[in-house]
Amino acid sequence: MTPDPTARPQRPERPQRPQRPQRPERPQQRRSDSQPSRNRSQQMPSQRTNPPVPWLYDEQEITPDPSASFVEYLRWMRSPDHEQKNPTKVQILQLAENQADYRQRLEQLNKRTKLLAERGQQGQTFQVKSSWRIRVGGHRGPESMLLPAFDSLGMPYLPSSTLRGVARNQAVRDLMQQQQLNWKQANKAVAPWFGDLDAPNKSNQAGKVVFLDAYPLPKHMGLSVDMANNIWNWDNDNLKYDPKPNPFLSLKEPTFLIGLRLASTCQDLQVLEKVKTWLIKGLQSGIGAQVNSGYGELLTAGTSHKDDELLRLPFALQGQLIHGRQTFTDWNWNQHKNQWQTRGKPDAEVRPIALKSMLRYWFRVFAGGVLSTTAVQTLEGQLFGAINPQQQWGWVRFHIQDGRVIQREPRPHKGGQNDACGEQEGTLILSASLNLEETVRQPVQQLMKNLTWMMFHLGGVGQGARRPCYSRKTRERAPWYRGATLIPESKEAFWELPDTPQDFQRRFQQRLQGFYDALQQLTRDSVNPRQLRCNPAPQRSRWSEFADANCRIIACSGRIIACSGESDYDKPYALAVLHDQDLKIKDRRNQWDYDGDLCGKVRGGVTPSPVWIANLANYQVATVFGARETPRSTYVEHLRQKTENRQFAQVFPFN
Amino acid sequence: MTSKQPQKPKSSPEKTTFDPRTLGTPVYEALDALRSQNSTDNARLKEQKSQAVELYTYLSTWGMMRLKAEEQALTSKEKDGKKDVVQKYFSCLAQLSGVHELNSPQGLTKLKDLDTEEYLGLTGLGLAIAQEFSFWATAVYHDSGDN
Repeated sequence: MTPDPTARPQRPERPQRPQRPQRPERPQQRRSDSQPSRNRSQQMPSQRTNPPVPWLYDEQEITPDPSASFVEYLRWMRSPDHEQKNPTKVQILQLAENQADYRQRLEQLNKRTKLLAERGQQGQTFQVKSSWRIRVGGHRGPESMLLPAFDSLGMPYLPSSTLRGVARNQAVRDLMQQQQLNWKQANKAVAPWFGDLDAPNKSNQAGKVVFLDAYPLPKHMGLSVDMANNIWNWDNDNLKYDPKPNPFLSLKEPTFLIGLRLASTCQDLQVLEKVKTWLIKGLQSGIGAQVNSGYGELLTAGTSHKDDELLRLPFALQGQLIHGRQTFTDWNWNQHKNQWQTRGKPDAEVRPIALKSMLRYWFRVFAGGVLSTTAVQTLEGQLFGAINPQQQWGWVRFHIQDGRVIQREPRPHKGGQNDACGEQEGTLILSASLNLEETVRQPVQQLMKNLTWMMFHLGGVGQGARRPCYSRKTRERAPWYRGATLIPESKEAFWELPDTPQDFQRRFQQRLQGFYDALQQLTRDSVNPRQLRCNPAPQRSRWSEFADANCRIIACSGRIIACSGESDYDKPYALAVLHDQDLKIKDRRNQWDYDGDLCGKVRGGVTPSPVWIANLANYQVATVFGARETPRSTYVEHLRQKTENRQFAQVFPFN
Repeated sequence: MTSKQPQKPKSSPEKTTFDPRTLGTPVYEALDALRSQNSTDNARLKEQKSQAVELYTYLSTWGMMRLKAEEQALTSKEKDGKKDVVQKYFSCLAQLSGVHELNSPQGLTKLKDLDTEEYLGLTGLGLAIAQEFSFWATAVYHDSGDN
């Protein structure tokens, strides 16, 4: 996909400015909660111990056979009161992934499937490939870890009962549609293929097709460390930022060999063909967990993603990328802290769930400005799915087609100083899930389309979401780029980038009004953008991340005037103002530093910045939460004072 | 389905007889006590029931040491029901096997230090007790709903 250079921000040029090392204070949006407890090494200062071992027996290294399943690794995983319980868990999962060599066993199992299915020409085999990741689970592993379903020898597989369920459900849905039946009637009507103990015709009491367990192909098994991280949670009426990265195992882009054959009671190959068609269609709709978040789609050769689409948008992401798991590197002895430490290496991956989470975030922001929190939570669960207070499937499915990393992020050391800026791309597809009723389809589509537009124009996604991508190549230390810029790459007029802050103001308010109108239709509540909610009044160190009466969104452009040797380092204007000397405060060591209540902080607990800044080439858009209280009000005031009138527009609230 | 409390066998576990109630009685009593203590906390009762049913599968897949380690890992409030059952399981196992440290915090170390024969024997007994948990869960939690 070749981006149109006129429709996207330029990559930051190498600035021609004096160098000065500067330490960014951007909060990390993902952290490990592994604060090692006081350990032996701390009790015995200056005594260097052996590096932590991820195995149950501290005193010995275990060398598993390459054919050992991940189940064996987890059986021998360190105990949960280990001083370094989180990094060692990541370490052992990675060992299980890297050392897994199941080829011989899987070859045998695939051979078995072929022999069983194709014997006597009463069956057939075919391959299906996962377009991204798949999570078909059995029971959970140690520490409630999510694992791929595995057989008695620890080989990942799709159980035959799961495949049968997928085909049967698809058959029921098809018959409901074709013969205008309700679920109960259709459930009986599938008896000629799948059997029903109560069927009046005896020959239909047993199923006519045998499903075999499906194993991955030896070279496409895909065992891979995955990560779940629910960053925001509802805490009564407010949102609580509490990232807890939870590593687990799923299968990445595996190919399975499916085997079907007729039961001994049936000779009709048309029955087999019909059931196979249902199975293929069912697998295409997604199988296992998280199918609304991009997991579980299985396609046969030559087919592509097919869905009841609400929105399709090619996009690119520049700067800090979307990461999956953190790769375990090595243990290093920290002399100063007298303990072993390990730094994870983020693994870039285009993850549909990251964009889904970001859309969910902006939904809460804008809905929370005009609706009660109860109404927001109810509709959020309906749109995106929920586990609490009760489990429900969301109306919208999120999928990314052709997601790939175009350019890895620069290496985080001196050697990576001239590496190119990281870039990912893909096509975001929002589609109707099976339980989206026709009566709400139009407002749901309107809401999601406008919400997606707003997300793409207010910030990025992933770790650098709150800052636009900008270069730090002239500094002495990595990171060489900060922030993330999300770029829509559609040629549709809907996605045309407004030229000026005033154009943006009009377009944004049109989009937000479209969002509000859909919100009103879906909730039947009164939504009045000129009567915004006054969620709890912000204080210096407390604010709500809602687009309410306390929030300001500003579009502006300009050039900061450097004073007293200060430099803006070629940062986009709104960011340069945010990082201006006037807004810095003295830290504990009496050094000037960024204000945590404005720029976010990592020390003493992570606080994400209450200011989002997106760079739209000719101007920036700053979203400021709790803007009626210092230091945020001071920032808004600075933007107002330093920007020429024609280059400044208040986008939100509506005036 | 309602349950009838089994009679206690007269012999002590140290002199195990062939009374088939030897394994069932402590398990029934343990689950019944849990059920009574938390009679108003429906979510916790559901957790207890599902954990009691799953014990056998977990143990046969992951082994005795992992189960003991799991007990320490169940720290969050919503996992209290699971933890209740795992703790009771090790109490029953300690009582019936005579390996008394099993239900203490040092239980994992004790399991690590057993020789192979002892560990395998204990696992065999443990599997039989886990089956009892699964069986009695259906009776004791007959009105607690399924997860």
